[in-house]
Amino acid sequence: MDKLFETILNVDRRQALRYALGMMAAAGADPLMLDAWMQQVRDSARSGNAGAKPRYRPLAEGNPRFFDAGEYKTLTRMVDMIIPRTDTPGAADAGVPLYIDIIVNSDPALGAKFRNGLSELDRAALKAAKKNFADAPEPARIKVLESMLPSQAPGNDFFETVKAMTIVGYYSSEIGLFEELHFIGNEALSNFPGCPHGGHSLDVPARKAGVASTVQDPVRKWPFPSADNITWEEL
Amino acid sequence: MSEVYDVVIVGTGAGGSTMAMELTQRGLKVLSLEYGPDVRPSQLMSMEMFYQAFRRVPYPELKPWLSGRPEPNWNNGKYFVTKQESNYTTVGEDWRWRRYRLIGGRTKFWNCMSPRFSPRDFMAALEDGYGEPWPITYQDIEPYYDRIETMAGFCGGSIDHPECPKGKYMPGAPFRCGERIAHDAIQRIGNPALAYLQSPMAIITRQHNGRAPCHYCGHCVDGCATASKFDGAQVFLPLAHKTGRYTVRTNSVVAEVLIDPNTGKARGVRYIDRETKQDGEALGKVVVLSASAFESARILLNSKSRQYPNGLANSSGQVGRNIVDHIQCEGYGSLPQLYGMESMNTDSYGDGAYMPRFNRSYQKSLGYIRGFGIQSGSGHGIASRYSGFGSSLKKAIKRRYMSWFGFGCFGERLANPETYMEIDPSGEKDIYGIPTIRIHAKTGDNEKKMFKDMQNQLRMLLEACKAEDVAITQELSPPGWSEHEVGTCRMGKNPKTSVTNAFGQTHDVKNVFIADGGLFTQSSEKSPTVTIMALSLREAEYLAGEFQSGNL
Repeated sequence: MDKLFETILNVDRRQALRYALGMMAAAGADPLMLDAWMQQVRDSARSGNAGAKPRYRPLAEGNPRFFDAGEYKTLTRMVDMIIPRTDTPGAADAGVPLYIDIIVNSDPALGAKFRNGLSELDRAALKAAKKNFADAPEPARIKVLESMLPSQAPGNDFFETVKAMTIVGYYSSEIGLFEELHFIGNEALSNFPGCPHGGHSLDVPARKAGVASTVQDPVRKWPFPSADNITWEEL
Repeated sequence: MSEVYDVVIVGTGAGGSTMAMELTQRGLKVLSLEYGPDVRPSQLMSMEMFYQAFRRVPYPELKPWLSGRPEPNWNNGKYFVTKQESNYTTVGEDWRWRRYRLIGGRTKFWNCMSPRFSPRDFMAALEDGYGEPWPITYQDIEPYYDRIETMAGFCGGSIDHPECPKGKYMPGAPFRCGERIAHDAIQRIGNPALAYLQSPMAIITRQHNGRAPCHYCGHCVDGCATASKFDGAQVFLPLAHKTGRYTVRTNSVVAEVLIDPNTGKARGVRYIDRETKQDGEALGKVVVLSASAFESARILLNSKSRQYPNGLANSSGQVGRNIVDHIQCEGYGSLPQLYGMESMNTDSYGDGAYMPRFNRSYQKSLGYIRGFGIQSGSGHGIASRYSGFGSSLKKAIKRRYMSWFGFGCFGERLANPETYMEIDPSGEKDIYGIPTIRIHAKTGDNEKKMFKDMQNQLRMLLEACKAEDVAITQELSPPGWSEHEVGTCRMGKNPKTSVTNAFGQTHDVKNVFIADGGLFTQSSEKSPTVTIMALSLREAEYLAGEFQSGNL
């Protein structure tokens, strides 16, 4: 068991902590002991990293294999408009274009859709601003994407595909999870506190005007439960 | 393998592991045959995050199974058998489900929601006149529910409810924020029929018989590394091994039950070794089929002989008939009361809450029978359906991150003559040379009406919680989707209309027993596993008694 523990520890610190706890729990450890041990691990992790901001890696790194340079530039622009860099990193920072490249590269049908969709994007930008999408000024690019929003619009299907893949890619990347969402979870706890607030008011807090909530598509299709037909949108 | 065992059990899932444990503890020598491999908890590797898996696993191998979580349980996909692999065909509506081939069967990856059937569930056919009545009552099975829950360790179910009896439960995990809101909102509706309870789960929250309590990692459906969630292979099979009377043979695909032509009784089973592809015989004085509703029926139908030309134990013609599962409808949204809340750990285990059936008072006016129950959960979620793009989308998702909330209905399907399985008449065989099945499925009017009611109820409940961005399933779930299929070898008093007696013993062949979901006469609206386990325990007690008094 010690050897296994060491191996795991070398793989990934965050993960190691969880496996170690899992193993201790398997051995029938006392919950109080788990608590104390967990605190120790937390303290040592903190002292080791004192002052240093942890570096979160993008979801994928390297060069695209499916898209050519022009297409990749267009795609990068598009995903970065869907989830832009604000005070936190955006989709391009999180490696989403390459993530999409890897998926599309393994799926010919998706490949055709992207090839076609990206060239349509350029065509629309050329028409509106006489420039390729990637080089067009921001207002023109926004107009192009906005024209794809209505569910009947010609480019809507492509837009929704890219948006869904961008969202999955971004929010499952280290950057999206930890820097943007401050994800806490996927760990072994000795106790689950549930709602720590002692309950909540049932009333909805007053809202600023103009932030009305909308839902774009209340229809949820049943995906086919085989590995080959899983829809990423469901993740 | 020339040794003759007292009992040969096919399958190690909920029914098979319960049988193995109880029979060995009662002094019988038992051999279990399992189709799939032995899988250790450490092999499940279930806590790897998506970004970690994505870095080291080629994308085509990465199989993100249905999950609302950022990390996939792709690694477990290899224990699922997909349609391509298992090679079944369908007629009518497509039967969509996954099957599991590994030690522990479906209990390895189940969500472990475990409500008992209520006394009225066992009376359903007598009350509305539809279908074959159960040959047992709640009183018959209650002590076995008690024992299963005590031995395996269950939690939750805070209140005794007429539609959801309180079992022997440990305290469950407390409600998350969203569940607290839903609980209070549903109380505010003031309808006493509506109850929002802690869900009864096959999970231990305290140390129990040397097993560690739940560590709330949220990976129940990826397999539990600490066996805190009930898993037949990790909880009951070790108890069987402890007796010294238990043997398990993995990677063994059972093709048929062998019949002694002189006595007409079973003498064992023929299996194929999955690795060597060699035929083998496992001999036993009693044969128990607990290979899942469909597989047990397939084995029976494939066991043709001069005495049993229509398949074994099929003089009633009911083997493979009366298939039911659950229809499902989901509704979810964001709770504005929780917008902007700081991130915290909301993993815990599956759905924290259960709403027992509440439709008895009004369903007549809607023209359908039987009921549905609702599972409910909350926690972190990505509001990916928020419209638009750009910083407004990013802000909205972040703001709603902690506010995800949802309901999931499970409703009873009615058995109908057009929903059944048979051996494929085209002569199709699987890679082991065993004839495959053809499934016929049809969704009836009752299901459609119930589904409509589910949608309406979910809309009202979500409204009561003041949920926003509400999305409700618009399409009735396809047959098989719930993976709660039961009823292929139903029990009953009359040998002409049922396959087994009230103890799972086939009417036709005394030493052949069924111990899985196949026994159910109706599915009720509740998840079947705990009832499979309780029925199997009762059956094991009877089998051991009969065996020891020489009646088999």
